[in-house]
Amino acid sequence: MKVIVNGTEVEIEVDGGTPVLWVLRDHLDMTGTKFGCGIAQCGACTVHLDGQPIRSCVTPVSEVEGREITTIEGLGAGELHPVQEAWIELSVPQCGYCQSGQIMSTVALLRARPEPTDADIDAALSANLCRCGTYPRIRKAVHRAAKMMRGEDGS
Amino acid sequence: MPVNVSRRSFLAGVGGLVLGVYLRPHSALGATNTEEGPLQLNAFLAIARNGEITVFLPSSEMGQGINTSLPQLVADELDARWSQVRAEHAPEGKEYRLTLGPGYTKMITGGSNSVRSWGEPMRRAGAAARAMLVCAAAMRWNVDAAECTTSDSTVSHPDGHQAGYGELVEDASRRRAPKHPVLKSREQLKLVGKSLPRKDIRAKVDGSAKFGIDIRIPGMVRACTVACPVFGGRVGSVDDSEARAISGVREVLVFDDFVAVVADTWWPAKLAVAALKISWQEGANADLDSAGISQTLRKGLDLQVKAATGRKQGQAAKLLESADIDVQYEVPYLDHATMEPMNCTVQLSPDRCDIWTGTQAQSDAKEEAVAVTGLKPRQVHVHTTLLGGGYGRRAMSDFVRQAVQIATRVDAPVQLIWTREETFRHGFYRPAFAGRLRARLAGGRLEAVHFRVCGSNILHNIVPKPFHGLPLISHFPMEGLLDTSPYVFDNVLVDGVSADLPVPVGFWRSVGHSHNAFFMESLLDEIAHALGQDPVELRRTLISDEQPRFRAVLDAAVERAGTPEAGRYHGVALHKCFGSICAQVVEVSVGKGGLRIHKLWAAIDCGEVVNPDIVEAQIMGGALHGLSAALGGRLEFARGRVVQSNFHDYPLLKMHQAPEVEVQIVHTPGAPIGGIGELGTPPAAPALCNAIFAATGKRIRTLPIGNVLHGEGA
Repeated sequence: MKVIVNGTEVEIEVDGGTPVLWVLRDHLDMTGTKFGCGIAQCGACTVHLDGQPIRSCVTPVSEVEGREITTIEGLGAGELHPVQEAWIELSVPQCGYCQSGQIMSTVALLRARPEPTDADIDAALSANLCRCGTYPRIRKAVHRAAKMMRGEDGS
Repeated sequence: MPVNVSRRSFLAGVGGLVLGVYLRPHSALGATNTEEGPLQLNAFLAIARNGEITVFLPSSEMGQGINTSLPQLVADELDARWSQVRAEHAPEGKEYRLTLGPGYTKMITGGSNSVRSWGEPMRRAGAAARAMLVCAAAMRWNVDAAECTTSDSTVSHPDGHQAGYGELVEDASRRRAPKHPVLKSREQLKLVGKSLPRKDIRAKVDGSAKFGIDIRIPGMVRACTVACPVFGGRVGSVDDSEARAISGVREVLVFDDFVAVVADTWWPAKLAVAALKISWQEGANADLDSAGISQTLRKGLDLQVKAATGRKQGQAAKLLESADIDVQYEVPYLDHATMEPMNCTVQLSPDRCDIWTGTQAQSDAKEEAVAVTGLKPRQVHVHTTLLGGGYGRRAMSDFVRQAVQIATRVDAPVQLIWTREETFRHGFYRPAFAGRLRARLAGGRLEAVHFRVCGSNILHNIVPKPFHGLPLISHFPMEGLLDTSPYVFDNVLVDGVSADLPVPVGFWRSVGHSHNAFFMESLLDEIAHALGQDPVELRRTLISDEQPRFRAVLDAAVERAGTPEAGRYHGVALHKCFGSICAQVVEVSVGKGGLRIHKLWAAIDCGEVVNPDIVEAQIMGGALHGLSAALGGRLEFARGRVVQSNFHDYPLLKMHQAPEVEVQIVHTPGAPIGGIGELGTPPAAPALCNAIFAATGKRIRTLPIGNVLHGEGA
């Protein structure tokens, strides 16, 4: 089966029912995408499918054949994405385990809404759990990233 | 826990760890260097010839930022170039253990102890290495060491000599370490007290950070397990025919109390576990349920039941024969719910066992491996990865034991990953507690107060029975209500009953403070309202004049919070734990859509501050941890099993529920460093519930709050 991950086509031998998450982690050894719940309840496994955020833990790989998967590893294409930069600037992560998913959800949000309101952030990120309680800093970092991406970062 | 452990070891050890007393590290500043590469100048640091400095962490990085704050302390004394400093977890070894008692040491992360316990040894390590580098330079230049100065990883001499630490390290490694390195004065410190950016952030935003679950060993296979869902139960019979038919499955292994499936990758292992048909021998706890547990706890509130007395002053028992307030509170079992499910990777050969896992308890992990394999301790190597959350759960090594057991029966390195369901159902939970709180009011003031608490005593699991009567054991369920409490009462009685329940319990962020701050701070609010007094004012009158830090912290939080706008209400709470003080004000409104938490103000005094930004993050996270539990945290039991299984039925706080959090640090210069990892949690629930009372007149005495307020009010 062929899948396109971060712009590269890869051939894998796997049962079509296997969730994308485990193809990434176990077949491709791309461990930036995390396993948290297995039932699309925590968002740690969020990746993009043709630019849209999906929960890779419940998405069978057969559904993504020939389509573009983007993971945290491929987000900035070798450089940091502005969302990642904002995360660094505001020192968002604590344990860090949920942050790949938080960042992937945020990138998708900002693509759809370059000037998100707090309500937009609530809607886009309320299914991404963080147990360390970094939410207030995530919110600030989303606004910060949005400004950076609009060229209003003042730097 | 050794059987012959002495009374003193409990005092210094279990009590110290758990009660938050400063623990003395068992450490030596000696080091051995046998290889090329970075040269270790002592147990805590190595310098490479290119100048890169590695700091070895005796504690586990689980989000609390110690892989920045501990190096900060080392680097400051060392006069190191911060950009060249990196941190890694130390291996399990005697230099990295905390002394829990005479001859009894463990490498363990807990009790908000990392910076408190290791701060000074880390500083001494930096100062000692600096002295060795200076000595090496002085010898090379044939000058007086006292004339040399250091900064930016360079030794300089007024005659114009200069050498980087990397150039000097080889000579320095041959110098004798000073026994009593001189530490800098407070004023000389340049890094300590600054919000230096965390060292681990970059890797945690680009996906490269390695947690236990991310370890990859060549040739490794994966395992998934299911243990008897009833605590204490065992495997009866197993029909694995369907499981074995799943492509990729290698083995189905039956152990005493769990069954493992080993496969090439994890997904088929997980599917195969689900396909197993297991009949369990459920054992003695098969009838356990939530109603029965609650009944047991409430029984302990009967004043006829014998209780351990933790605090007694004046004539509380007599005066309270007629109590004006006599109310019962109850809080549920809670799971740690770390985002990273339990996992452990093991590579076993006849003479060596390597373990990679996110653990808070390296020594225990090693002991488990020794017990399972029969190898010698020196043949077992524990490699600590980043932890995808710990909060106390990863202080237990049950999952390490399982992984090593599986490795003994598989001819390949093996990575065990639990499902989320297994992680919920086999935890070491924050015990449920009930409290009976009584107060007598007279002449417009509080005259006497009584706290009776009942719940499982966590220490009973790890301390042999003959010691259960010792005050430090029997008083444990009352922690936070005793001598660390901010308040002085004329007449007070605090007593506790240790309930005998079969649910595994453990250390959950802030441990007993999590329920006792709720009891204390809720009761004070009840008393204030009964007296018609302002809740903040009542607290002020109960704080001793000799304890100005409590008052300063309370005032700071209250002043920052100010007066709420119309339709919004404030609740306040104050607590001390792990050597630090925290006051919180929570602002809520309760409208048609239910409860909304708008903002949380926290003020803290944690003594000397190493990294203010990290402190702020920890207090914020700790407070949200407390709010999360108060709003929706609850494990229930039926037929001996945990009912909840995943995040759909064990809701965690979500983005839209999380209030803005403002943290203010009240500085007490020169005061001992206090803990920060757990400090933010205890005041959150009572401050929230007190705010709800202010908004609605409804007193929350049972947690979680759940949907009780939905649709109330305007």
